[in-house]
Amino acid sequence: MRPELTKLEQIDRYISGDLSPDQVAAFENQMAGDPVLRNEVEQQKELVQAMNRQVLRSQIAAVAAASGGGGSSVNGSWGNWLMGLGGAVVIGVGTTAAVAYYQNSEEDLPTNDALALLEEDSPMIFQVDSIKSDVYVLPEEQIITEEPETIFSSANTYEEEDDRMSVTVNFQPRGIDPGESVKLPTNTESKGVIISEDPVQRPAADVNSRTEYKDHSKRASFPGGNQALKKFIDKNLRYPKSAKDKSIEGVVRCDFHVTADGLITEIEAECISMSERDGMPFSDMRLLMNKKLMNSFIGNATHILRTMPNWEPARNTQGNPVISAQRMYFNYDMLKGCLAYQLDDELPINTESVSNRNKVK
Amino acid sequence: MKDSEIIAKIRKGQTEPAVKVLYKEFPKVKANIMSSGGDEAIAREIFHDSLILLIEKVSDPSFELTSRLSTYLYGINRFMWKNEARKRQKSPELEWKDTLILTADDLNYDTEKEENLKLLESVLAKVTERCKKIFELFYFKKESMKTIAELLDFSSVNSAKTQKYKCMEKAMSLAKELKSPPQN
Repeated sequence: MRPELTKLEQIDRYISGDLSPDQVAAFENQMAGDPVLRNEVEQQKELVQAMNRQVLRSQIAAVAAASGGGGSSVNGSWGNWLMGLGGAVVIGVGTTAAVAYYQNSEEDLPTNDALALLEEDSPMIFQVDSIKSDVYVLPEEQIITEEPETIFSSANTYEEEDDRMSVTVNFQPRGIDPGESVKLPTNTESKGVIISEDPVQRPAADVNSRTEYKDHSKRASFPGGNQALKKFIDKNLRYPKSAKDKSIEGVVRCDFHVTADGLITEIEAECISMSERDGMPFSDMRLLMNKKLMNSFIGNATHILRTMPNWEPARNTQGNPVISAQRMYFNYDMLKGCLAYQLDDELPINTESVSNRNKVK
Repeated sequence: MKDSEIIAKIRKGQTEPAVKVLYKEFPKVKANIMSSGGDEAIAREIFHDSLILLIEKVSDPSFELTSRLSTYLYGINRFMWKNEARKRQKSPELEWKDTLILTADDLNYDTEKEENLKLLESVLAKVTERCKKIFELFYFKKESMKTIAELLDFSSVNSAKTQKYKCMEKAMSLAKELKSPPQN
């Protein structure tokens, strides 16, 4: 082989772990002093990765085509991929045949028929390895996925995962229970918006750090993480009684700031929708007419926020605590209980309103 | 099929059955993407890219799943869509249910590298069929050079090897050309 090819071979063996430990050490030594070689190794690694990706892509495209509707809606580039790959790929002969077959056949051909056709044509499949048999002949029952997990219901229990998933409350509205009453705030304002502020909770010092909020490397969070938040809400969230009696459900959006000290301030809550149980959302008119209910939802949600312990403040890239804006949704649902969801996206801080209010003070 | 079975299949190199199962998640991802300004074509592209990323992640023996596989897949999809939306100068509010919130760091996602890989893939589409076949058998199917030499009718293992590296050299030079087109 030419020296260039020998070099390629050496790199290739290094990447695929085909060298003895001694050789690896020698090679890495050589790499350390040779940036060009390092670069070449990197490139070759990427090339191998790209090769694998290309094969995967064609497999996925084949599955997409076979799983119904895919064939017709494969976008241009995917189609080109398939065509470009042609019979190159090992399963290629089989899969491209499948795709071609599928595309030529009627649009609404059920998947099973397409698979059956494929099985009949299996001699066309390039006879290289054994995967063809367990690829296409998988009976439908075997590939049933587990229950979808989109609905968080208090009826189900979930694994203790500390990821940022929705937080569900194990609260079910009980039957009419005269002993249980919910305290509603009386200071409700018009348009269903309550702005509650605690002047003590806003130190003046955070004005300077406010501009850095976008660089924080850590988001503001409830102390103890989402599991703790779930427990807290479990304990404290009550379905407003008036709404429960009328079987009315609602969604409340709460925007608030978490200061550098971890205090929750500037709570702005708005009831973004209400509906009867399993019914259509209320019209604007109806929302106006049910302002009391709306305020009960809002009062309830803001009560939760106001009684929360201090949060872990957001941190900027330097790790300094800074003020940040957060948004939470409280979803009151008769059947599934209550659901709280913390929006993970960064929100801009409306400094204007803050400074205006400061002036008023 | 359980998550652990899917992962075991992927690690054994039987990606196709795994892809078939995971593809059942596509409609949900599509609905999520379409509800925040995407169309079906982009949803498909993102889903396919995410699937590839997932399989690459899972193939790494040190990978440990901390949630359900589908949850992780949603997380990747959500991340990829957010990335794409940012490229389009939009930042939709993504309120996906039942997903992990993953960052570029979580995924070791390097935009530059991904673009490079996309480019390399387009380069690979240009090499000869025979080269592609060798690459696939060797790197994806992990066949030995001996089997490959037999399968593809090479006169000897050595000539198959030489051919493989010639193909590689060709692909690398094509890639270099694409990155910095020759001045003429």
